[in-house]
Amino acid sequence: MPQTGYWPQYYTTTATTTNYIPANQIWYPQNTTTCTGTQIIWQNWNATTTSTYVTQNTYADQAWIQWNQTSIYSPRIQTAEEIERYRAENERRMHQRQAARAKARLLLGEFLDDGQKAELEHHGRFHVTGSKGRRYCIRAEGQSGNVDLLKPDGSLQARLCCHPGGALPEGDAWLMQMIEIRHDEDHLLRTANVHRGRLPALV
Amino acid sequence: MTTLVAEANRVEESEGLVMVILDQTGDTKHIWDRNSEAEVEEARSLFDRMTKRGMVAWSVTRKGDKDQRITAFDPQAEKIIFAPALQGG
Repeated sequence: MPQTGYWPQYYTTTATTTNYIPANQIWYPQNTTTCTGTQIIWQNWNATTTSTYVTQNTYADQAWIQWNQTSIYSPRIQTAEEIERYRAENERRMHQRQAARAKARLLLGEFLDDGQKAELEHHGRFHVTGSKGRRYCIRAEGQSGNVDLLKPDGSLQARLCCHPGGALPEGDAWLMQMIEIRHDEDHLLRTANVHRGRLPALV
Repeated sequence: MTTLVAEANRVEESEGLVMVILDQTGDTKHIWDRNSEAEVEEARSLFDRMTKRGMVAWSVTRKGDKDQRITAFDPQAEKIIFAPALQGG
């Protein structure tokens, strides 16, 4: 830790020297002078002292200058050309997102049977049977906390949050949730965070 | 190997096998012909690159009767989907 406002001592093999460090400056004990003769010690000491002092003064001055600088909030005013450019860029990104969503829904559609497609279209959800026979409902409401584990009577047992990383479009996330449920539902249950209800005992 | 960015119906019509890499654009599809040694090797190379990137590979069917997670390239797999690993949210 740097120390300030005191008199540190420099120890060498042949001499001990002292230098005052003002309270508003920082001294880093980084230089150790080891010499064989007193004359060389003093030459080193003078050189070190001078350069260190100048450096510390420079830092102190800069800190003082920065301290006195006032920061006035003055947001830059955008030109009409810039506003138009941002608007066009936002529109382009919106179209990209819409295209990505549509593409993901198309891929998801390849894996849904007719019943699931109808469910998704009319009710905004579809049901999936897991690898161990449990029933799940994937709700088309984002990709976080949208998987419901159902009891045999169809009521909610647990609301789960488990989705792929990478900011995929929702359709892709639902597809991967479905595949994981079909392939290894226990893995999904172990990975998911439970938002509501309780998980069944996993073997 | 042909790289397609869209049109899943074109993929369905194709004679080849397909790798689907899920990404922010929805997905990117790579089709290869199992009868072409060069294309199979290129597909194998792509598979290795994707798994090294941490993507999880699934060999899947529409019905879900053959879904399986794979760690090595299977040139006979009809459809391989790459996706980032699931994580709790």
